[in-house]
Amino acid sequence: MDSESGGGLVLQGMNKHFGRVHAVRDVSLEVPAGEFFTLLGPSGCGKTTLLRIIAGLEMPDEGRVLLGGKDITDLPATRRQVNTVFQSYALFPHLTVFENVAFGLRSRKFPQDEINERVGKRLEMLGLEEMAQRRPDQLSGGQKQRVALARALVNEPEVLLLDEPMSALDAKLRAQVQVELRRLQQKLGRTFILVTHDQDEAMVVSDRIAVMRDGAVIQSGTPEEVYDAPRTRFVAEFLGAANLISGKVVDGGLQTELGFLHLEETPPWSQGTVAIRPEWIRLHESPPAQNGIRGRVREVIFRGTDYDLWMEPGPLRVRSHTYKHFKPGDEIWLELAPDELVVLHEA
Amino acid sequence: MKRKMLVWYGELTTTRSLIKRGLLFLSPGMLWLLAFLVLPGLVLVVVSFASRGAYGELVWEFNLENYKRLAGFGIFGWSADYLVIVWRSVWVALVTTVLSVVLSYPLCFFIARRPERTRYLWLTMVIIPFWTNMVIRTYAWFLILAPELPFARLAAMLGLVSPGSPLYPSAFAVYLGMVSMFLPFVALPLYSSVERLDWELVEAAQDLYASRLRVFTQAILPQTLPGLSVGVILTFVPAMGMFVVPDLLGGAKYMLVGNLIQQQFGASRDWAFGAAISMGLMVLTMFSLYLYRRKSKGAEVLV
Amino acid sequence: MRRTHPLVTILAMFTMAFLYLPLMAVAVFSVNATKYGLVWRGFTLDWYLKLFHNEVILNAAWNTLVLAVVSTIVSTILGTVLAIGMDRFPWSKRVNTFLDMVLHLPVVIPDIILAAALVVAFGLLRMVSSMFEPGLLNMIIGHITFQIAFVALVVRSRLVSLGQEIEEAARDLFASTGYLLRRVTLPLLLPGIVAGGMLAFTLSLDDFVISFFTAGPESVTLPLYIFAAVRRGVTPQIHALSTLVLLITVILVVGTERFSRRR
Repeated sequence: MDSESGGGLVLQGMNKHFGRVHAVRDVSLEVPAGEFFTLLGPSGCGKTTLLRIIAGLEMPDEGRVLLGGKDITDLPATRRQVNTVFQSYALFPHLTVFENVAFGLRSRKFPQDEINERVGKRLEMLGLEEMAQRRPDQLSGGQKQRVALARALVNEPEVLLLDEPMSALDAKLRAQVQVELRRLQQKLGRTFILVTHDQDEAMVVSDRIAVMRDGAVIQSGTPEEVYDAPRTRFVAEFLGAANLISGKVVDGGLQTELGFLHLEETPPWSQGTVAIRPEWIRLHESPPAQNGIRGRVREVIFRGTDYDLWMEPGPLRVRSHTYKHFKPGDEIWLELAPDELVVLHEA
Repeated sequence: MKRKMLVWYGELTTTRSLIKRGLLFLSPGMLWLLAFLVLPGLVLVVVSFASRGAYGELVWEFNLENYKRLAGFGIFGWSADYLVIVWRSVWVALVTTVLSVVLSYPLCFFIARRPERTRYLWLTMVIIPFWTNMVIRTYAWFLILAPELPFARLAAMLGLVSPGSPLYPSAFAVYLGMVSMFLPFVALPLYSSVERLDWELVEAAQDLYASRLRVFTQAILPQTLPGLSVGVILTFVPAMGMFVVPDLLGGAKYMLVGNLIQQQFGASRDWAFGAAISMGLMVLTMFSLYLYRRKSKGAEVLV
Repeated sequence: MRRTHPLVTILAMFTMAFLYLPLMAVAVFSVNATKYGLVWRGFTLDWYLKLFHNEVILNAAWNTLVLAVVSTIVSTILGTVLAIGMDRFPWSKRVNTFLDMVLHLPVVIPDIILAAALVVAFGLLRMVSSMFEPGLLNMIIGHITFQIAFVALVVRSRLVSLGQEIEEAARDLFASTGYLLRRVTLPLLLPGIVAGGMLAFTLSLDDFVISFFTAGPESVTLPLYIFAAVRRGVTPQIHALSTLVLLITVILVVGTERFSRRR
């Protein structure tokens, strides 16, 4: 499936200003039908605005939105086959769970028996049958979220938009709901677009991620691509931990404060930065053949499945499994292998 | 290319049609207020410069005579009569406000420390007089200060009044009436602040062996200031313009600005002078509001 | 529960007595059999029964009710529409400041100034039309003028607390303007409208000054009647009437409290 078929979404040259704030800058994206796509970025990066433009709750200054190959930029929200799960859920406080879920069908004047059937099916799917006659203020946070989900999904939208749907849940529940959401999307096979500032959440649920900053998309790709090959310092640091090492290009390698480092590819700049994730640094008793650095443990932080070691020189952050035990002051060889060093594209 | 359409509360529309619809919604209410509030207000300003005809009709000759008269320059030379009334109104409003505040603090503390069930009962007890018609509440004082009842008898025994006479009309009766009238105006906004008071801060101050006065000024006053300032403005401004209480309990001896205005529109039939006095009261009101706004910047707390 | 200092309790009780003693005295003397003076001569409900045969008082009660009901209906509609107009449209900051100022005027200025302004304005209008003779119409206009502001402020605060997202959610779920108003906006706004209407009604019953300045000989209301009666001297019938008005106030206040706390 691709972005031309039903449920495929294309954004072209999107721009939006609020007063003097440039909230969305030249964003173009393609989301194939059936994909779980995530807009990831810190608060105020324009991701929610972009989602609202897709929903029809905000009009872009420039750019077009195409759904299934058709231009929907000038269609009102009421005529888009797109539904939204709001950050606050925005449930109707005066209506029961059943009537909340039925709202989209009633406003399009569906016959009562079809409403009963479709609402019943969604409530069952999300385990809400018992709650049907309750009002939103009698529900827990997790239940409210599922009602919001059911209320959107009952309309069988071509694209489901989710605006930080987990932010009101506690950490434990959030992890569980992330997995459930992923399974739900795979079962339904619909296009989901999620907005979040939580990189773990983005990586758990998404087929592809677009990282946003200051209104622009700075990198997009599968979670692995974005994590393994961050293009900028911001992406490297926003998705997980990263060691950033600066230096000058010398003889196809990099001269840094830590010493000379061989690289796999020649950087496009003469002076710049490379990144390496803490768990990619290998530890050795004896000097490795290439890119070895003699390190001294300054601090050990226990994280459950592994330790974070803060090393001199640097400080370099290294992740080590729990079966290797270190104390501050221990000395060890670190290997920053050339194939693990990611050349960042900004100088 | 800048689009003409915008989305407003989920609806796709244009600024033009939104403004048109908005004006449609605004106009009935705003036109009413302009017609019966703003316009009459402006007319009142104009009339305050006009003159009174021989039969109490308005004569459209504009001068400053009414204001001069208010300032005391009459045909028989300068007299402070009107200024005394104005000053007395400000003074009465001030004393009323201070007494109401002094009585409201213990009352609010007391209510805030009741168990939840009875707390609302106590609070309702404060709200009921707030909404009871002021004529009835003033008249109730009329009754209780009557010569047959213990208060007047006690005063007579102490030689404060002659036996068999009531405690009104008097300045004392006016203060009683005014404070009981406005106390709920202070107590209710103050309570909303007291209810949210951080008692740990107060106890911390007590633990530091601060004097009672310091506990109040350092820990309690700053925290209750929002409610207090609303209460003070809700009391001081209407108290200056009060006329029922002084009319019934003060009599001719203890006239306030409100009575003076009423007199011009009633018995004296001198609308122009009445308008000028109203302007004087308006200036006092605006000045109080200005002070209030400066003290509590940006606080949208009225109502 | 922290302990309350005995002095605080004593002062609070004193204040409560100060608020209620006069009102209770009125209630007590309203069932006293004496016609003149304030000596206790035994229990009677005669004064209450006589109220219901007093044409003047019944007429005043009717005027009070007509005034309150008509002004409340008009001001609730005007105030609600005005609140929507102020909150739900993209006005510039300056327009908003102006609207806000006009709306707060009747709330902050002493009522005697509004009363004076209305007397003068109606006086001038009388040159054009005899409709504006002092009387019920003028009183209704006067009451609506201050009620609008209070209704609009109450409804607007409800609109603000409703926010934008709930209506966006309805649009996102395909609601037409009519359906949105019928099914979402009005039901959610209703508690605010009812609260505003109740406030307007109580304000009308509570008012004396505006009525006093704009009333005519045919449009005496209960507060006006009591005021005039007091100046002639208190009678047990007036005690009974005041007690009744007080009781109605209590019922209204408790009812409003119940209503607003249930929401």
